[in-house]
Amino acid sequence: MPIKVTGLTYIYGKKTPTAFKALDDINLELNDHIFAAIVGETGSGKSTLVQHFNGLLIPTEGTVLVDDFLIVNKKRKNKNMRDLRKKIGLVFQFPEYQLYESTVIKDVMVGPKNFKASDDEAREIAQKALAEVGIGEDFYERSPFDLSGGEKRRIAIAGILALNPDVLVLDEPVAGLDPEGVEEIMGLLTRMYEAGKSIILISHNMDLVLQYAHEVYALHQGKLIYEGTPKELFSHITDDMALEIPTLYTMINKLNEHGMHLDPLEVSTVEELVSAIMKERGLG
Amino acid sequence: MKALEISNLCFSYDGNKDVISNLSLSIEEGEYVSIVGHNGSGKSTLSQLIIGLLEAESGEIKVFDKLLNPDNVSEIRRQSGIVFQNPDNQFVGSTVEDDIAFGLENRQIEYDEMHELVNTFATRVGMIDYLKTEPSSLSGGQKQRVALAGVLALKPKLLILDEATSMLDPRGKREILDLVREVKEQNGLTVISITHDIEEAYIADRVVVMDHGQIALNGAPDEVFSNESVIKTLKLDQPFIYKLKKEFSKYGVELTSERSVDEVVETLCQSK
Repeated sequence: MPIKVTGLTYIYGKKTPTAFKALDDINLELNDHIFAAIVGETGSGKSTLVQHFNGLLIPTEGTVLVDDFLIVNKKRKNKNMRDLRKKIGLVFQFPEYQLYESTVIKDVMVGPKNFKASDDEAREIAQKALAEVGIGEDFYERSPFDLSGGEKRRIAIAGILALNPDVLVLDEPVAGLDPEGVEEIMGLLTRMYEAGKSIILISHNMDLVLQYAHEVYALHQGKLIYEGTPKELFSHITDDMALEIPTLYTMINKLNEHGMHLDPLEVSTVEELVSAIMKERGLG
Repeated sequence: MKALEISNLCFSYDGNKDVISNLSLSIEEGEYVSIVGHNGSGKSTLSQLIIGLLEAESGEIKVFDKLLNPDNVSEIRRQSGIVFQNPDNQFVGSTVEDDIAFGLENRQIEYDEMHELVNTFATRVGMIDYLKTEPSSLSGGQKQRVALAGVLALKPKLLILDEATSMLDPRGKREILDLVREVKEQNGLTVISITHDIEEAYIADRVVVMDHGQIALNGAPDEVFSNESVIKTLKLDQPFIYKLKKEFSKYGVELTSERSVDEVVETLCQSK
């Protein structure tokens, strides 16, 4: 499902003394079936941007076109928001804080029931969503609060999957998880992508962006300052972008300053880095 | 002096399964100790036991030589501060300024001094421009900065960070950890940092690895992370520098004493 953002500006608390421009004339086009990352420092507008994708926020100026839903700031109410929210699933930071039912299965059934599914239908959908995130039947009757961090987050994601969205937008999906939990979630997102869904990910973790995302959008003070592949971004990063360079690229830059000639576009793993260095030394 | 001395501590939430199981640990004043371990290994439970938010079933905790018990708990809390992963749970003020001042007001600090402390620490965490802002409208990372300012303003002797920088961008995270380190150097602060960030753990004075409510490894970072079998069994990550050294050794290049990317770069370029 393509998303087209045109001249998007968003001001928090417009016409109040604390008015704050969070997004400033953003233009971008997201294609169908992508694995994209949105990066930028704290407060750069990342979360504000994605909340426009399903109409949780309405542009102060400009438009957001999601498939054929037009989200625009007009007196007339934007129609069919409900259908839009079914197509774009938004997973917030710490989604496990939104778990509240007494059992895992009931929690995942909430979404479908809100969209008028019967109990039986909702249960069937929930079972399918839980299977997709790798949560087995033995978990159905357990309390979501007794589970580990990675498990809770998978259940929260299942709650969104139960609405069968075409696009999954996740705000910092692996913050606070241990390495195993990180792998669980990123593996899940990769599977979702392979099954045909679009994945849009907000993350501070540049190593993950490098490893998983195919395209990256960088925000700085409410402006879109870069779009391209992660490798291109990290080999062209400048200080004013206020982005951290993945450790791998820091090392490449330092070695090149010392006279080596490593091509950052050729390297995306430790193995490739060391192999490139050894090659360079062999020639030297 | 020992900042913390824990002996034979046991705790469970339901009376059956031990979350903390016969754990003993001692930390010297002025040490920076990172606690790592997978989700559910008991790290956060331990931090809540140390400041008396939870009560142990058996065993004892001494904070600066004071035994933690109902008589001493307020005094111990006056000496210690904790910042949680999700600061939403610890905001009380209606503005950033009020929130940082809250703890100081409780301690009946004079108005002028309080004002100065609020400004000093708001500046040091980079939030001075947000004094009149409502905490709920801040981003996750900004909230973590404010929560830390509120705790540091109370000048604790023991600071516990429970995943307290997890929502910050990498640069913000480094700034905040540098600030903690600076305060530690200036005031001899003792820091216990619960983290999943292996690179942060690697620069601590000491690393404690927890598993099933017990201590699996405890030692200098190099001592802990070089124990590959335990690190692997517990599904923990190794610092970047270890992955790098391992890869180089496949080519017969043995790097040993280097502890940072800079040092590796230096070695590589010298031997070229």
